[in-house]
Amino acid sequence: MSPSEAQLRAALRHGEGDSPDAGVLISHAVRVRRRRQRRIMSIATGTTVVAFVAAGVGVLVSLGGGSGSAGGADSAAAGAGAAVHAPVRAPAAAPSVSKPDSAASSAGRYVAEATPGRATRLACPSAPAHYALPGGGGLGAFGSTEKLFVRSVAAMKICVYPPVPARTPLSTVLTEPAARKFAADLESAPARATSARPCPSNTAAVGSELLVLAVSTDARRLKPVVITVQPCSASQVTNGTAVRYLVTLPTPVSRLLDSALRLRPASGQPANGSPSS
Amino acid sequence: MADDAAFRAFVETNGAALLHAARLLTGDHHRGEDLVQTALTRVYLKWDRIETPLAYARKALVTAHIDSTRRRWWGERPTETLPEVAASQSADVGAADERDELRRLLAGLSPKERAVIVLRYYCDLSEQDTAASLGVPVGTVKSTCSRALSRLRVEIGVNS
Repeated sequence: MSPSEAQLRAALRHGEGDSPDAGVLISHAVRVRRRRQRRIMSIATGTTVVAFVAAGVGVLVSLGGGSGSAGGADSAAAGAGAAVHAPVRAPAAAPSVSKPDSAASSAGRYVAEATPGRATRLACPSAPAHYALPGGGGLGAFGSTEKLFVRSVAAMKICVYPPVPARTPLSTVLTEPAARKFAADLESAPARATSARPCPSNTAAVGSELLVLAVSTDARRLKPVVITVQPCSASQVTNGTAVRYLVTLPTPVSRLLDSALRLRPASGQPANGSPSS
Repeated sequence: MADDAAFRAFVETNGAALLHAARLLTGDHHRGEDLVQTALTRVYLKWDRIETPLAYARKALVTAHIDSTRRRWWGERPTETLPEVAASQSADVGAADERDELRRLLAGLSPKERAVIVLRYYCDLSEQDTAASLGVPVGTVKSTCSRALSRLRVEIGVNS
């Protein structure tokens, strides 16, 4: 037998029954729709919860990362001193002692605030960073004019290291706007030593070093800056690449140096580290 | 929300043909009912957005049937000999008339071949409409239909 189209159509049409119940179909479709909506809602809820959790974790990580970077820069500052040629001037690292600001408050130009801030938590390393400068650090052999502080400074801690080491380095904390002004003064200093070389008034401070640990406005630790007080010449300020020369020391530095020199122990006798004396 | 009255009217008008097409596609009474319920549920859920419900229903019917025949690792695994087929084969074929013979042989075609035959010769669709319902080119419909008819002829010739 070879089926013709008519035979095929007849065979296919044979046995047509009733139509399905529309009410049953509608109720089934409504159930399917509700099930879909519930699934979509659960997925949306789950996605929202996951997004909130992820955002919370991100916030926590960013907060934790900010405090972690401060500690990391501490070690970086100490590491910079040890990596190049680090003459350990103090026997061991010790907690820093913040200088009280009785004198600073009277200065008027710079205000060293005792408010505990981010910079306050920074610890002064036992020795300042000693950068190995190209050409041995001689005048004119280097001297990048790039910025000492690559970001806007919000606060800074200045650690002082007098020629005769104290048991613990003295430090002071500058916050805005004093920190910003201090940083701007350092930035605006000439990149080469001037021919006019007035000797500093306090010659006992010659050879002292100061370490500036700055924190930017976005809570990042900046590269440490070292100020070296040099005899009858401009004091050198550098972060390892950028260099400036100060003819006169800024007020916070000179004041801190005075305090440190007053605390300088007698020969062979370590200082007690109390800045208030 | 779908227009329930219009949907009811649509089901009353075309439900019987769709149900019969589903039975032809599946070769089974109950599976055909399940298939037409699946297709008409899809139609109801998209009732406000479709312009030609009957064409959409046919397409949903064929798509759902072909999807159901695809083997899934989590799905049911058909046995080689179904009880109905065994009973049918054991029965005297000569006692069945031509329609029953053709209907039985139709179940031996592949799902796509069966869909082409049902759409072309039961739903009376043109080759273009059949191609649109199946989502394949017209040439594929022609070749598939020709192949399916050839198989039917061969099977009938062998049985006779």
